[in-house]
Amino acid sequence: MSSLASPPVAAKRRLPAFLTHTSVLVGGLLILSIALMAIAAPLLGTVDPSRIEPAMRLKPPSELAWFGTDLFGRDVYSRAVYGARSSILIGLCVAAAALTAGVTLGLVTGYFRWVDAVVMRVMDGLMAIPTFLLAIALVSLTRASVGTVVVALTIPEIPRVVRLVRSVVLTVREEPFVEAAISVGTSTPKILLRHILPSTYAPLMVLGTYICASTILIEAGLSFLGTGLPPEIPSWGNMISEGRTFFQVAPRLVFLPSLFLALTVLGINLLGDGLRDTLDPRIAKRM
Amino acid sequence: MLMNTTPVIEVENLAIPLPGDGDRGFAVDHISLTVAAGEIVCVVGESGSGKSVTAQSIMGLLPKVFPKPQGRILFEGRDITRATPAKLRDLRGRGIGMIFQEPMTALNPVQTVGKQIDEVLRTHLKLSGKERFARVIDAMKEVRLPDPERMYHAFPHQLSGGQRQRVLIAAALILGPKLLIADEPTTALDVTTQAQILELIRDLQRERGMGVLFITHDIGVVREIADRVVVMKAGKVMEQGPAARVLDAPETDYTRMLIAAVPTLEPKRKDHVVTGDVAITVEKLAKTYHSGGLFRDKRTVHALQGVSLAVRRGETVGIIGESGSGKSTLARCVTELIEPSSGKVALTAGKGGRAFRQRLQMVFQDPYRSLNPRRTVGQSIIEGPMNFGLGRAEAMDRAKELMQLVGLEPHAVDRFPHQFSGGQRQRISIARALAMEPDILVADEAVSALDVSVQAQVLRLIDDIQKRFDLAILFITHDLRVAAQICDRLVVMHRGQVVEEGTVASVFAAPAHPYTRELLASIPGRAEETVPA
Repeated sequence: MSSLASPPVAAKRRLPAFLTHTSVLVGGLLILSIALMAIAAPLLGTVDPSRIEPAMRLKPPSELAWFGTDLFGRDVYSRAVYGARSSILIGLCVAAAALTAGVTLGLVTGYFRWVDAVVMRVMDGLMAIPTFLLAIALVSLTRASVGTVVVALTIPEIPRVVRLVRSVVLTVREEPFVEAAISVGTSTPKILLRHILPSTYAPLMVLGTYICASTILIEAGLSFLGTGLPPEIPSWGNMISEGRTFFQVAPRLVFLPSLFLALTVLGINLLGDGLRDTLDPRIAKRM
Repeated sequence: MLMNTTPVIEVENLAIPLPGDGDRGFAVDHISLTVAAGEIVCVVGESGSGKSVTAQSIMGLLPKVFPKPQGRILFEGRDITRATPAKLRDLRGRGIGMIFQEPMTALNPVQTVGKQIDEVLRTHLKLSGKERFARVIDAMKEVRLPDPERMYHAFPHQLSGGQRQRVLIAAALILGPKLLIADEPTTALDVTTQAQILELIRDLQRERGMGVLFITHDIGVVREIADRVVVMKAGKVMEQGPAARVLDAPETDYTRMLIAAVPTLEPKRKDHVVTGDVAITVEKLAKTYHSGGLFRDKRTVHALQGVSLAVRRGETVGIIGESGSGKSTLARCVTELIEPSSGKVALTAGKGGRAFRQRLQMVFQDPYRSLNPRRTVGQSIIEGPMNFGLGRAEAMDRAKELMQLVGLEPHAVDRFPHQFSGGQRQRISIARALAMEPDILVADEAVSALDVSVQAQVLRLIDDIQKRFDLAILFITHDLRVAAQICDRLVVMHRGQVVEEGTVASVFAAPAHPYTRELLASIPGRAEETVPA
């Protein structure tokens, strides 16, 4: 019988399935171009997005200002391009912070039963606070800054990550390979990091993209309400907010930031859906 | 035995291509077989032989990954491969009934079992509620379910495994089909329950004169129940014929190997004298679980009650019993994976004060889940020694030696578990345990998930390493045939307690406890063998 023969030939090397999935490719390309735009903002024919020129107020598009100027004479095109920086920065920071905090708490609560009851009740409490209200409260308590907005948007996302990680840990910790690791004397931290954490990567990648997308939207919403980033930092949200008053006379003020916002969120969601389809074995099998 | 001239089902040259580029082109490779009314045909083969796929294609339940099968399947002379979905639906239930391996997953957990049997009637017949209820109760009586009126309203989880399988049989047979397809219907059941279900299937088949296509991997079961046998391997029919002929005078080497691989009940270690020192003593071990609490009544389950035993070096002690007997709880208490409620496990002082985890190692049941799928087998093997301070390079050299020792290629340490077969993985698990240089090995159903031919090899390996390393082995199994092959002594467990203890030969020849007698009497295919005293 085959037991004594050599194991079957190694599976053919090929690209991971998620790199050939259409929606991952389209979403990825969208995000990549917007990220490149944010990084290369100074090289894209922009001027200082915060320079106020009262003489140039509400000018229509010209060679100098491709999308015209806003109420303070600032270049709309430059502001929209630079606005990508704050949106993407906040999206990434919040996703990273929420994942880090959520994974740590999730691993601990999933593995140690006695922590579970306490932490999960706290998480339930956090989930009951509406994101917008918490953000508005925090921003009005402290000075509006990128840091405050990141903290305000991270806190409500943490419980979602904790729940996801905890559910994975609860199933994986019962696997015989975890018991096998215990019985060869592996320490608990090593078991968590080496044997349990890797099982959470796939669902976390998906959740991370969703957090990123929803954060960008919420940040725009906060800026629209005037409780987000301070007005001197260009962001899509405060551009739309400021432009809304002149929507009837100069819809171009709102057009560019809205377009970028929509494309970014669409890109991230496509990427997230694609990742979910290819990384979740239950769905991947059907395709 | 009733024999009819037109077969109930006739499979002609059935071929089902395998999707993608697998190791072979066909899941089922141009096979032909028939089942006549009033006969039980057993399809027997090891995992991957295509026996379940054959059954699924007869039911028209082939998973969508498979392309359309070629060949013909005739049910009472009509080709059902060309039947419309509506016709096929009507055929299932009225013409062909099917029962499955795992009765818990085949039943809907949120519907009462009575309703689930009733569903067959609702789908196929126009009857009043009262008539249907009466027929369901009759069907439940026929499969000997106790107190059918009450059990009608029970949910699947409230029934035992055997009762659930009876419910499925009742549902499959309520419309009086001409053919029953049974796909490993007793594999998930305890041996005593298995004996009862086999008897039930045979009785019902005789009363109704229906044909039965019985799929199994267990030659013992074949001996119990088959009129004719079809032996399959890698999608091909190796041989078929009357049961007596195939089992007693097999024509092909494969069938001979399959039959020879079934362990006999002859105790192998009758003359083995154990002289080693006591390596591990278990004293009055007990484990109690509490459930319920604040809003419900407290329930206490005694999983383990006052179990004491000792194992010497070089000795294998078998713990036998059915599911729920507490044998796995015992293994987990002994290996300190769970804490016992009372009692203690003591290792006799050994060389150089080594840690508990080094001196006692475990081999797990499921070779597919006991190795971390994301780590190479080398990483899995060296994890233990590195936990106790061995350098990576040194540990890896040792891992390669161990791979060779368990019959695998040393350079395969860089591969991942999914690149190995079940038997090979179990060898890797053994290598991982040996890497710790243990004195004591606890094997929890270590060969239960393996095909018989592979089982024999792994048992030989365990036997070998025991001699080489003078191991004390605690071997947990539900399979008395396996126990006979490898154990010196047996400990029989029933409801958390040790009911009998003794050498294999003495327990087999003169079982003292009624439960042990029942276990022994239930071994499938036992009638053909005499247990030597």
